[in-house]
Amino acid sequence: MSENIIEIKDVWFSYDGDEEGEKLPPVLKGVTLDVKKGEFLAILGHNGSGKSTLTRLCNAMSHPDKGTVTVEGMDTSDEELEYEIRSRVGVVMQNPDNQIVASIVEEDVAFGPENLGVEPALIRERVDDALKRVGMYDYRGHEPHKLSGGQKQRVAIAGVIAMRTDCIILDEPTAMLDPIGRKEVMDTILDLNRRLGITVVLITHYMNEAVLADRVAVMDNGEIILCGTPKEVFSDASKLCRVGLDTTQTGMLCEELRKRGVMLPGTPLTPGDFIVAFQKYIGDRP
Amino acid sequence: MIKEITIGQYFPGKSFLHKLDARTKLILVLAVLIFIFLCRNFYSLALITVFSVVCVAVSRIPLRSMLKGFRVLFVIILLTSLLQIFYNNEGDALFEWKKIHITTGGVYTAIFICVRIICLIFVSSLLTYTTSPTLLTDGLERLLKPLKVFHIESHTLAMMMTIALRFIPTLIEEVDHIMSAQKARGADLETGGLLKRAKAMVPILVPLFVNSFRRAYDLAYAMECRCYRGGAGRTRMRVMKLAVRDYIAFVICAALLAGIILLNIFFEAVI
Repeated sequence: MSENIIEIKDVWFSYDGDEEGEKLPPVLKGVTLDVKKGEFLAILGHNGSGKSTLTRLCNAMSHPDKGTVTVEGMDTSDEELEYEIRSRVGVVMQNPDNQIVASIVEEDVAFGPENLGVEPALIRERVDDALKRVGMYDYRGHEPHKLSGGQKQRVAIAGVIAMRTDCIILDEPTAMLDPIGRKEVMDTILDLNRRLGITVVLITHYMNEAVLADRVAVMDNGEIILCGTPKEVFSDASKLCRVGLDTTQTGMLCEELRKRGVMLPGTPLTPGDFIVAFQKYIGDRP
Repeated sequence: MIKEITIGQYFPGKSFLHKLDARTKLILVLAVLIFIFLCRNFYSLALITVFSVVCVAVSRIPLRSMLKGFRVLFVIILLTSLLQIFYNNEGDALFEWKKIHITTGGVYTAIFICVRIICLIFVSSLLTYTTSPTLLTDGLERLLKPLKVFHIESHTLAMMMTIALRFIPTLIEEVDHIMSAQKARGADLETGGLLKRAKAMVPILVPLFVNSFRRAYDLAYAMECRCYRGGAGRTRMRVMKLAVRDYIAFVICAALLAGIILLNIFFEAVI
């Protein structure tokens, strides 16, 4: 088996227009991107840059006009494999309210495995396990509408874990949450990736979230303009600036310090890194 | 007033009735409703009334909140029975004045119908009082499975009910948001006559509809992402199994039916 879980090769895609046979301008223009097994990849980009479309292509909800998308060696344009692909790649959407199906937390988590035809006793086991993983086990009998946004998103994540997918794509899962909910969800995602080894693709426009990833891809206008480790990507401030994205707050602080003649060692991107670099800077001074 | 009606609500509990299988309850409630109509005289009616009262007592649902919910209905029941007094002119005359004749037959029917309707309400509302909506839909799905013969997918029906139940609180919340948003823009929802207030509802209903469609689209996408393909090949986490108590409930109801039939045979029919 190849090392890549998802391979996107020179993909072009455009949505159908309202009229028969009409095609809207392409949303994706020759995107090539690999997702490696077990990695945490963040895709950054503005609204309308084609990030969400990429999600739809990865779980066979849409098919590329040109180029190929393969999931674990299976071509997404093969309609017979659609179901198989969706059982390997789980998706968590932005709006927590619109993706919860059942009116009890544990029943919603069970929805995926039930669709897969898993044995009842095994579903029970998986649901309990998934809810414990995201820290929502105590809420298993609750009604979803009484939970906070962050809790609902964690339930949605549990719903994907219970399906035992190899890869989770999260499409701006924190966009509608408050800071506390955002932190809960990010902690859960990191935990899944680090401890369970589930491949995570996080689509976001928050720099502070992208920094935590192993690799960052920046999309603009249907193309991938930058791809690499967070350090590589965020140090290219001029290119980020050109597409209207900022570097992280810490990155901006370093930039301002640099302008004033304070040269910190390395390129710290998170507050933790910054403190270490700053202490080193102070220590080095005579 | 809508908030006062408790019919259709669920009161969580651990009574014998709560623990019964949803399928058992669905079948037996339907059966008892038919039994109520089988009663032909006051003896069998008394039997079924006692049965209903015992059921309510066993369910341990506070009678106060139950009666509170029925308050609106009692007016309707009283009206219906009063009308019966004047309609039925059989039996001995009790009271006569100009064109109004009140006879024993009329009074009997009035009492009979009054008691009958009250029993109907109590028994049928016990179903939803003691069964959670999810269990109820689950039970219905399994009971309606034989309808496959007529090409009706019980799974589809149950899934629609589940989604409807799931989205009721979400939509109520949304109405609240939209109302606040329109009020903030100066919409007047509280004053004016009935027609004016009904008109004021339009700017609330339109965004609600548009949003509902968007939600439906999102939900369908989410369901497909989670490998939903309809009922075929689908398993369920909760296994429904009949326990001893379910068989006991069936035996009790059979005894009830036997009792009603015997009382109907041995005593003269009133209605």
